[in-house]
Amino acid sequence: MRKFVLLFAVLVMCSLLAFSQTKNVSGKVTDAQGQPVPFATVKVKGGKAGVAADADGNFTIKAKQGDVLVISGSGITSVESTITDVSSFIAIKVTQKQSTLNEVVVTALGISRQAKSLGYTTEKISGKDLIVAQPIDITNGLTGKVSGLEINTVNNGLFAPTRVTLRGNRSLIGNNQPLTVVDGAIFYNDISTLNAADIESVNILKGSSASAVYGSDASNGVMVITTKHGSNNKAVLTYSTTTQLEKVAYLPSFQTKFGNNGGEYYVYNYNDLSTYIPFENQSYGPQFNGAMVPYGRPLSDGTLHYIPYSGNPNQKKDFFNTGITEQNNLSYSAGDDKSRFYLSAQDISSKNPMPGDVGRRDVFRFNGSRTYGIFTADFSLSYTYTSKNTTNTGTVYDMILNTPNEEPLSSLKNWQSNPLATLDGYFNDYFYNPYWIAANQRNLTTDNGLQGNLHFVLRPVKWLSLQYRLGVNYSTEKYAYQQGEADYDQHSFTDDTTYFSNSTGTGVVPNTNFGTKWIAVNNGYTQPVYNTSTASNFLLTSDFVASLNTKLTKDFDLNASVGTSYVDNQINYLSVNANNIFFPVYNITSLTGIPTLGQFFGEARKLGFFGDAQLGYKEFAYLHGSYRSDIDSRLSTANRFIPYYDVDASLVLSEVIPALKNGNTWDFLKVNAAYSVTGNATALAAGQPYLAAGAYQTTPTLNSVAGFPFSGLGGYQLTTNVANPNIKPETVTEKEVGIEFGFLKSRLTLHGDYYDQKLTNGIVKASLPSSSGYQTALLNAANTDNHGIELDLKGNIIQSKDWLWKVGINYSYNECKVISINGNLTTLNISAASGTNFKGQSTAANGSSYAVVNQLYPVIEGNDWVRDPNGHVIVNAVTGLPSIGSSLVNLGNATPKDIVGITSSVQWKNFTLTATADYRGGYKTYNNIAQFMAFTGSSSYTAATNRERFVFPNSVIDEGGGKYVTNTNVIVNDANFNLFPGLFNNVASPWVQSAAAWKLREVAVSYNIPMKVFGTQKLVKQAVFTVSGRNLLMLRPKTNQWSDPEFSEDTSNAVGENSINQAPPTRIFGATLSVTF
Amino acid sequence: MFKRIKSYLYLATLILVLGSVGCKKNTFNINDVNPNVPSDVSPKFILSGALVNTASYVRNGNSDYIELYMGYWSVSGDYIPVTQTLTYQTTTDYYSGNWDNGYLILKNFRQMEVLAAPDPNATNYIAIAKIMEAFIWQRLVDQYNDIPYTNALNGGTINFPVYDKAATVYASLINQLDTAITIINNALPTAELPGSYDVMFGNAPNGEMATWIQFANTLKLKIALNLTKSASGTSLIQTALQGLTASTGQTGSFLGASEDAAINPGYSNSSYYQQSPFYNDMGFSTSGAVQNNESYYRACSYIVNFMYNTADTIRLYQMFAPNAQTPSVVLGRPFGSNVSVNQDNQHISAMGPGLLQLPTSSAVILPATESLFMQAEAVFDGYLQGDAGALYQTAVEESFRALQDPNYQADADSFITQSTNPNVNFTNSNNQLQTIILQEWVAVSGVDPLASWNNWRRLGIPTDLPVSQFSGNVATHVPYRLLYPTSEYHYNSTNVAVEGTINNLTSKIFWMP
Repeated sequence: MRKFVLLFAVLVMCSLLAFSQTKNVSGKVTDAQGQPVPFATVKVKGGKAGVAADADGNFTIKAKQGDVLVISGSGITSVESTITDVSSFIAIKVTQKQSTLNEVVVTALGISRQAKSLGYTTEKISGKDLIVAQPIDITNGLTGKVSGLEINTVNNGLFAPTRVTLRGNRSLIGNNQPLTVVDGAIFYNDISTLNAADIESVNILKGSSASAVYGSDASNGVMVITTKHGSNNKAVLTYSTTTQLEKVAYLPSFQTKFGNNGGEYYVYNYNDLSTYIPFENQSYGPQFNGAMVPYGRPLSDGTLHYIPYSGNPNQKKDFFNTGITEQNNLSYSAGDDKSRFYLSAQDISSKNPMPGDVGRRDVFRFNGSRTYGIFTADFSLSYTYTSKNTTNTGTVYDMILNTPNEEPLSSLKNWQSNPLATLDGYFNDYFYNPYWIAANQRNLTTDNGLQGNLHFVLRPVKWLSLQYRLGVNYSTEKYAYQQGEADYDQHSFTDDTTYFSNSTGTGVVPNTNFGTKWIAVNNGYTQPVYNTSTASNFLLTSDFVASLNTKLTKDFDLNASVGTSYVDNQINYLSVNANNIFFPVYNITSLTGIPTLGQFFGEARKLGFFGDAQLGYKEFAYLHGSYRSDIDSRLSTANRFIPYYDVDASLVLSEVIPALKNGNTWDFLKVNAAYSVTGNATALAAGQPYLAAGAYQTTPTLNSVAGFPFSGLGGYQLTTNVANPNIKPETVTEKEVGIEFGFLKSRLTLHGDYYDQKLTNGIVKASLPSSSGYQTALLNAANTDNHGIELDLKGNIIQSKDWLWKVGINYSYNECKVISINGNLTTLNISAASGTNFKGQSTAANGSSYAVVNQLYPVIEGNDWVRDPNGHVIVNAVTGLPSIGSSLVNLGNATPKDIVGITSSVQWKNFTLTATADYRGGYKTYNNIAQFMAFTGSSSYTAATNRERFVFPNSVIDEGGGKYVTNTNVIVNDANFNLFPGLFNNVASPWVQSAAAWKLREVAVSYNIPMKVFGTQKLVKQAVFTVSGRNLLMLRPKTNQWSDPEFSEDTSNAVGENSINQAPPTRIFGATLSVTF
Repeated sequence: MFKRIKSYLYLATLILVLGSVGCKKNTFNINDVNPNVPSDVSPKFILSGALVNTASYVRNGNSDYIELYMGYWSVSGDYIPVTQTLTYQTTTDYYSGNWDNGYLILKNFRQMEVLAAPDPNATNYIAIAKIMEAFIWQRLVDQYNDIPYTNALNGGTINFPVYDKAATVYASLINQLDTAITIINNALPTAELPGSYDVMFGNAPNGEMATWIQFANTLKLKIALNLTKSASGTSLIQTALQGLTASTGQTGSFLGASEDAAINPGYSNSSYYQQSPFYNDMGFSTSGAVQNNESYYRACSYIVNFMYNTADTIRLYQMFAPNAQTPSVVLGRPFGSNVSVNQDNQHISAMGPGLLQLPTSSAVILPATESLFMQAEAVFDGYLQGDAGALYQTAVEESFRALQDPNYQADADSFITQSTNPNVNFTNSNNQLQTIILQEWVAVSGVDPLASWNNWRRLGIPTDLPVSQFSGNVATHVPYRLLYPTSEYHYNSTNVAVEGTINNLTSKIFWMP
């Protein structure tokens, strides 16, 4: 509090000073639409020096009545305006040149700068480009549009999370996702909770040089998001409504030839897999023949239901519904010269293709600003409510895969009363009906998010501004898992009659020797389950910045800021896993046993001191630098005040050498270079971006042993991590050079960058051999080298009265190589292996992400077949079968080396067609789902040879003494369940595929409805109807018949592995009507 | 201009002051103490925790593979065969919990020594730590041969410990156990007894620390006996067993009748984590659902047939459950069987009530029966004085007791006296060592299979221990050891490389002939 009082005292003092000065003429430069044009030069005609307008176009200049003001700037055509009244505010409209080179970008700390003055690379995406195809998550609207930016939508569930990286990865276990800054304040809430329609612009500061002023949080670049604050126009009310349909588009390739047999019966008679076993979950049975065969076991009344034994190509697809998302947006914006005001509300209600998965999101925003002479106050306030009700996707999908192809899956929706779909009647002896799971295993999540910003600016003199910003983020999440009870009829425990189909599938053979329904016997009555947790995250930011903006001499401009930035973050987490409860009253007081409890409280603080200065010479040469140092409560006293800095420069060569711009072909040439040293301490929090999640890493701790306390008896053990009192943020040193060309009066621009980021003192939770007594040690030890190039080509291909065709092509090349991890340590596991592990099957049977020295980061490692020195698979001379190697091998890098993005926008009269496509290539992904399908026999892969024995491709036979001969005639001894579930299910390498893909991300056609349609009324100002589609096409190599290579288990660094936890990729079609009043 | 710069400087100073004044002196020291978990506890909390972890380490799944090797268990016919298991193609991850968890528990006992060191009344904790460490070190050597020992457990200082020769470790363990016994004997009269936190011997009728000495001596015997076939073993065995006496009762140096080394902190069925570890692995969930391993591991036909052949049905029906057929009998499945017909879980027996007792049962980490069989063997070999036959008899009785036979003495006595089978009747046997070892093999089934694996690797008994019948299996005997875990190859690569190429079927433990 003391701080605020002092601050206000200073503000008041400064105000008094200001009022005692001479009056000036003030005004504002805007474009034809009334949008502010920043940084224009304003001069009195015939006078000596001029002044520069600020970021909002405001200027103040000494002048007398009758003077002529000349407004000029590199991106505008010069305008002259005569002063008629010195006491009135002068609004000057200018015309902006058609070029992207002159745009103004919002940089770190919310400082607006001209793009040409920057020594580092940024990209600006306007709000309206984000919402072309009405994405729910703004990051989906950015995909493919910016070089160096990779956005992975990691699954296609309800409000699917995304992983965002700029210029690839640097940190091995720290967060590699950029810092998000909304309206100048660090933003901790989920970025997807922002309403895309509220976004004015997103400025992407790609490298760490651009974000260096954030010091120990700066190494991953920044997404600077500016929300709408209203304009100085008349009141505008906009309403839009969108309906989107989502359909499953890309399922794995299923076999539709073979039905139920799990191999337990007649298992080793390779020539007789001809018995159809009606209750089996695996598809290793006889080939479909169209005969009528029993469905599961006899029902409780003794009746046996029959189904045709034939393939059902759409069986899996029919399980999923058509998802529907309704989106309604309302916004109201108003303002005048001194005040602005923006109010909006958004309601999204969404039904996912996964049966029963529904969600709702409501976002409200209230932004505004008011200027009182030299004092401006603005604020933004937003509240987000999100609720999600989802099932366990992986469990449902697993059960879908465990449904042999002739089973009439989609007719078994009614699990309550359809006798074939109930727990007792469902055909599968081992697993539940997926519809039952979808209905009875529910994850309920309710999030509330609040973000508020208060921002005061005082301009006591024209060259100085003092700003104070107070930001608060508060989010809470309430989570509950509810699982219904599973109860079986007595008949499932006692009736052991089953009817198999004989070897030709034409008759039934009764059998009472196979026991009763397996799942009933094994699970019995299963009690309901209830687990719940609450989490909250509070962030307070308090920044003070003093900036000056002045002409030092005729030719030199100086923009400089100094300031402090204070952050306090608190995290609270409480969980009660009651596990079983007596009845489906989902409350922890119903628990049947001792619950598992969890609690965490973390608080951490940081205070940064920074300075930032840019020196401009004649508007064509710029030198910029920034410096920052932090006190971080998480680090030891010795590791405070670590310096971070950036030096960058920009030179507009076409201004220096006029010859360069007089040519007919090109008219603009800029070169820039940057060097910076920044930090990243998120590894303290295992990659979470939240400050408080990384607290308490410097002291050793003990934790309670599982099961304790036993009636009053405590038991503790050491944590398996070596605490490190000397840990400090990892350091990223970035070098960047760029060049920018403008051709044909800047109708065509080309921007190229090269960057190299070297991570040193990288924080690793280095795995230690258990023989050291620990399993991990938090160390500053790793080094990586991340480098790449970015090319952006933008142009107006056609520009005429009726036509405007804009095309943007961006290309990024990125490689992050692990130089070292820790001393001799050559590998570091980034993720736990995904998928299930069966008894006796080692975790290594699944692929997993690793950092490996001298390899790209990350790579997929897993078990491979035993191979000869030339890479051929060695098979047994008798069985024809390969064997599985005992150690993990590198199966490929998991991040794309090449990314191409293409955007196109064609405008013809009232029609606009926009499209975004992208390509990612040069990487691999591990499809765990393929392993599941090898287990169930549901993939076409398992039926490629019609289950006929074959010579293992590219195989050799070991003749001893290092001699290997090509195998031409030893066929595998079984091409059925002994091969696939028995062997292929236990090896990772066959399931690692090229992840390359072209995707058509967005296509939208919008029609600007002519006003004459609305007759003479003046109410409607604009009406636009848009038809759009997202994820319309995905082109993958033939080998990847499994899933979307963009998917991964979560948004962590462990990319390159997907599993049954991600439902099949979908397509989205939508229509939007937007009306402005 | 100069004036202007001066004003900037003034402003900059003002800002720095403003930024700092709001912060009190301790604003940035809030992370020095973790409010969520303790950073220091008294040694008793480590003792209870580490003993419970040891119980899980020994009895919750890590030894399942040895049950398969030793002909006790087979893989269920209800499941897809996992080729690697059935062909002994172990990977470096195969049952690596034996390594990883072993070292983590060792580190906790080591930490207990550190915490106890400053307190002259806490010497009993130091002694107990040394004994428990020896127990775990031996399990590591017996499964992995050479291991990091001298430099181990020093993470933070020594992150990559070098390997010690297994023989050196063994010799050192005997010294360590002697040291522990000396510490107990020299304890101050005021020395603290861990009592209820000693969830193994806290309530021992023979006295808490006296029983720890018996346990220490039994471990010395266990280590010594493994050396009977090693070149330089004899002198070490003699040193280890010097001054120790065998006894069938509770008066000798070792764990005697009814003196199981068994851990029980108060196991209950109230939560998954409070269940007795073997029950948790092989039994049922708190709500009674079958755990995976209950249906996956089933009786092996080798031990079932052996016990039928020796008329050992009382123990057999305690060890394995009768099947779901009529009539209901105990039936085993050959390991690696190629047949599923009549070999599914409807036919093949699960664990019986003598092994799979209750969720509240104590976790035995070294049963009295094993101690008595070892004493019998040591007497038979001449390393100890005593009556091998009487020790053998008590050992068999103790096995019946452990399997929950209420008339264990009478049933055991009639079993061994009425049988003429030399594998049962010690007096009639012309190979008494084999009789001891075979009955020990039966007795430790489902409890301490590592003991019988050690015996087989050392003495080749049972002589006809079968290998997997699986079609792809080429091994002619069961494996000799585990491969070092992936964690060593990945994270301690330089040091593990010194051990050369390890083959689980041919690389031997140092004490193997």
